[in-house]
Amino acid sequence: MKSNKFHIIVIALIVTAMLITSCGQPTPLPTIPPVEEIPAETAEEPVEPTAEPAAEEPAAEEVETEGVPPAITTEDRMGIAVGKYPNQYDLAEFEELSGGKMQFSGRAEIDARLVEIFGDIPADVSERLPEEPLVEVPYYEIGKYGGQFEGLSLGPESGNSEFLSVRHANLFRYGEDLQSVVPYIAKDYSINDDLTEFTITLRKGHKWSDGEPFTTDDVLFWYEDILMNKELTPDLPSYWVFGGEPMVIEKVDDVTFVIKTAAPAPGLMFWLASTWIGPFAPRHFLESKHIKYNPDINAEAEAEGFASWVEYFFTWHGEWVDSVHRLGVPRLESYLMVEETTEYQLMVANPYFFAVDTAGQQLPYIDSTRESYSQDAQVLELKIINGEVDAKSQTLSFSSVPVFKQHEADGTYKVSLIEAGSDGINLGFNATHKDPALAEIFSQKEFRYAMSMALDRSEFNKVLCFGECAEISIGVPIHPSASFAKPEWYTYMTEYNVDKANELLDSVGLDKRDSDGWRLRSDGKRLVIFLNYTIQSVSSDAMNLVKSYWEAVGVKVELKEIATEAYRSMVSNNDHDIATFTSGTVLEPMFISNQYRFTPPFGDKVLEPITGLPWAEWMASDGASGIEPSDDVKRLFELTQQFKVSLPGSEEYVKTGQEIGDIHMNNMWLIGVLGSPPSVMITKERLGNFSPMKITSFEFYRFYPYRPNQWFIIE
Amino acid sequence: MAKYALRRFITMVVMLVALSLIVFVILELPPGDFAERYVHDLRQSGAQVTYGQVEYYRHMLGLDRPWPERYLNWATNIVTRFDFGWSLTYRLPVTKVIGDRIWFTIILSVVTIGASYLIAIPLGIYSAIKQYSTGDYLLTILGYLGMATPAFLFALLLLYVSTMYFGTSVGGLYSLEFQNAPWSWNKFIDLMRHIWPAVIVLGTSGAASTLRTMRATMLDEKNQLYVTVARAKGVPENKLIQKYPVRAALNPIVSTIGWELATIVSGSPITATVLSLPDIGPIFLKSLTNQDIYLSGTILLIYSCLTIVGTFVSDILLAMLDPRIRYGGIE
Repeated sequence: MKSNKFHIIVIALIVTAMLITSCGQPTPLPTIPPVEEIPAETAEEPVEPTAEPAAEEPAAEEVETEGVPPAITTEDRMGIAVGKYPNQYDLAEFEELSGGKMQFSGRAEIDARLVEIFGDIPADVSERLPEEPLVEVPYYEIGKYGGQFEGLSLGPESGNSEFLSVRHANLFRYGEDLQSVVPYIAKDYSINDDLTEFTITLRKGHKWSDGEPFTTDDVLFWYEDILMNKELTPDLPSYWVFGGEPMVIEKVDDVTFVIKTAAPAPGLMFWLASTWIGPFAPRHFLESKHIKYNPDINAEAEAEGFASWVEYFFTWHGEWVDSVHRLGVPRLESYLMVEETTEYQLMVANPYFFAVDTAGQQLPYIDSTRESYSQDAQVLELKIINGEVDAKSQTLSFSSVPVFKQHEADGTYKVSLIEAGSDGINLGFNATHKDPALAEIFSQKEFRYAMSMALDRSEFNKVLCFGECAEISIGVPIHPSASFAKPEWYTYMTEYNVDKANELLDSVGLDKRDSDGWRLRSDGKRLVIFLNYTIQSVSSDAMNLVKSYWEAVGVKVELKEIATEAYRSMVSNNDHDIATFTSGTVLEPMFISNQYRFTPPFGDKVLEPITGLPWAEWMASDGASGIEPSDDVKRLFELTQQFKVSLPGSEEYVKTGQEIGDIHMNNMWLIGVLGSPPSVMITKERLGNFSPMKITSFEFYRFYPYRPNQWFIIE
Repeated sequence: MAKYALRRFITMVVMLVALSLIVFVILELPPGDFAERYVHDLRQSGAQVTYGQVEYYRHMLGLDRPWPERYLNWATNIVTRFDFGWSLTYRLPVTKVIGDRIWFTIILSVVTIGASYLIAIPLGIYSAIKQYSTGDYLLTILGYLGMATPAFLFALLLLYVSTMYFGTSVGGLYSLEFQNAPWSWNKFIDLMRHIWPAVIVLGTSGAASTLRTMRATMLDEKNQLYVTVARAKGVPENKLIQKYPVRAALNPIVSTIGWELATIVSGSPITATVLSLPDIGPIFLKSLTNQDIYLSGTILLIYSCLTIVGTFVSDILLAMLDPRIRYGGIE
């Protein structure tokens, strides 16, 4: 028998704890039980059996009705010609090429949660589709409705752009070739010869997820009242500015608008195809939250606890089109949020989605998607091994490949390695160092060649990458996957040759050594390189290897790991010996619209300058301040200006691009140590119509070019 | 007693106001803010944003206003209508973010703390009475192991074993049918069925140290003269132990019991992160690293509030348990 008093204590403790927590936190309590009545799993079950006949319906009709076009796939075109864009048709185009008349069908049941959020939804699918829906050609087979796509990310807005790309919908997308721009929400586009006028047409009868029409007015609302509103957008982001002037959007009619730019904007279409920003917003919904249309909005915002209407407005509308956190905001994406907790986000198929497959079934096939959060990388891996995730590559570390492979056999998933498209580990000597003796050494390209040849890239590869990385240098800021890339850019001066490295170092005035064998600078001091790095960009293992290779050729290296903030203040002050941080990759869609990696300081000047901050200053001030750069650097600025206004794929584009690459190769401002490891892609076997990917990277918006809306769950 | 309680209560309120300010200032101290962090994350994932755009996001989130103004706004809203502001990470009201998880956190913590006391105190008593017996040695070894093993490591081992050998879902706390269901009695029962691994992981180190404390104080008390006197008077051994040394030996444990109140709501950030437990710990950790100041500020405020209240509760419990404690001090 235990002491009665002890029990009293425990009970008293529990009771007080309950009381106090409920006192301190009165508001959350009523919100705890989610209002949602039907658990997701049980909600799907009734849908599925009824969905199946719906899926077979068009196939049955095909036999009976003469006029229905054949349900083709990209594998089996059944003799129907490829249209203007390879894997999709316009409705009229498809009907003309196939000589049939399409019949549309949709899910048998509309999710009750959607009705609760958006009101009544017409049962007839043709009332929900645009008059001219996009006809998508599925990759391998015509899918069927049902199932839930399980995604996993580190947290809301953290390592989840891949999941967002599953439902992403923008005016355009990159085609599967990752070279062409293909209409998506937009019906089509045309560009004038000067590359200054972009005429874009929308789909007649396209509807927001609340059934209201989506028209040019929604584009204009975004442009006039959000982008050009000084309160909402005090500084216009550079990607909407051409030739120093903001772009202008003009309405032609309800489904046509023109974007006009002050200077040729060859990159604009590519930017529109890959950006996370949706250049449209639901006017009918947001007007009541905008001060121009609702003068009382400040009071309403204050009543909600916000200091001004601006912050309040941004809880309804986000620049990132897929980042949804409020129920009821009309959307165009393939999935709509119905529930959000701190553990997951649940989305269900958009009943107004604008695309159908070749059998006339409204896409997407999969009923719902769920993004669960797991902050811990190990737990994330365990969940994948356990088969709880349908497709995932973002944030998975290459070093986990063996673990995934080990369980591939007994798991239900498949491991594939996909080009990541990033530039790997890079080192950039600061040729504009404040110390004149170091600046003199670092600015000689022979010195940089020598330091590159001192690196044993094959050992690097074995230690850091299981031998799976390409032993190349991506110091040229143009990725090998680019249309005009030259192979020699990535192998120039990369052979491991200690003798040659020593010879080169001797030849640049570093031939004297002290009694410990370290090389001496021209002023007689020992040459010491302070290699300060942040583990956010490079691993300590990699930096220790670098140190050992360079010390083997007589160059003393002092290694120090520092915080990212410290790194940033060091490089933005031009206080660094060597730069190690490169973020923002060098893929084509990126440098088509933004060429900041081409010219000094070869990176964002706050966090990632490599070298040449004073050069950039000299160029910007026409020689008034800064340091005069070499002719090569001046030429680089000139070429970049030309590149900016040349049409991608044109002769001029290739020529200037290649000259830029050549100058970079010769100067080796950045020494690429190793190509980046491939991305690990995990896909469940049950995921149908998942096509092989060329590159997985944010620049192409991850899954978006590979049309996740035609994925389906194989049962 | 009432006067004593009232005086303590007034001090508590003053301290809370001061604390809210301190909390906010401390959260403002580290370099950078959420906007910078956000732009940095965007760049890391490959998005084309420049650091110049930090200002834009700052404006969008209202972080460009001076901190005293933001503090006042935040504090006023808390006092006038219990509105703790918006979480910048989740883009949801803070009350909703915390509210989503608070019941689970409380249940988990109460079960954990309750279980660890229920197990550790009797074992501590046993260990002290049967000092140097096999059982005592065994408990001593277990106690030291429990105290020395970091909980997150224990959690990882448990996860590894359960995934690799039993193939169970990782961090699954509910059966599938209850995962999205609102709270109900059946869900609670279901949770109780799945909660034990988390309770073991979270409770082990606490139980181990309670066991050691209990054993040490019991050893001090059991040889006191008053025990000998009672025994000489023929009080039955069981009753004697319960009535005299145990009561005295509970003192150090009871005086710290109030501190556990904050733990009840805080959970344990790292272990809970490892176990993917839906309690407040991981959210707190994340809000700190993301510099989501309204969320982390609110959680810190609740912790401080509970620590203060907890101390108050401890004092009162102690006064109830130990008649030697007087209210007035020396007059």
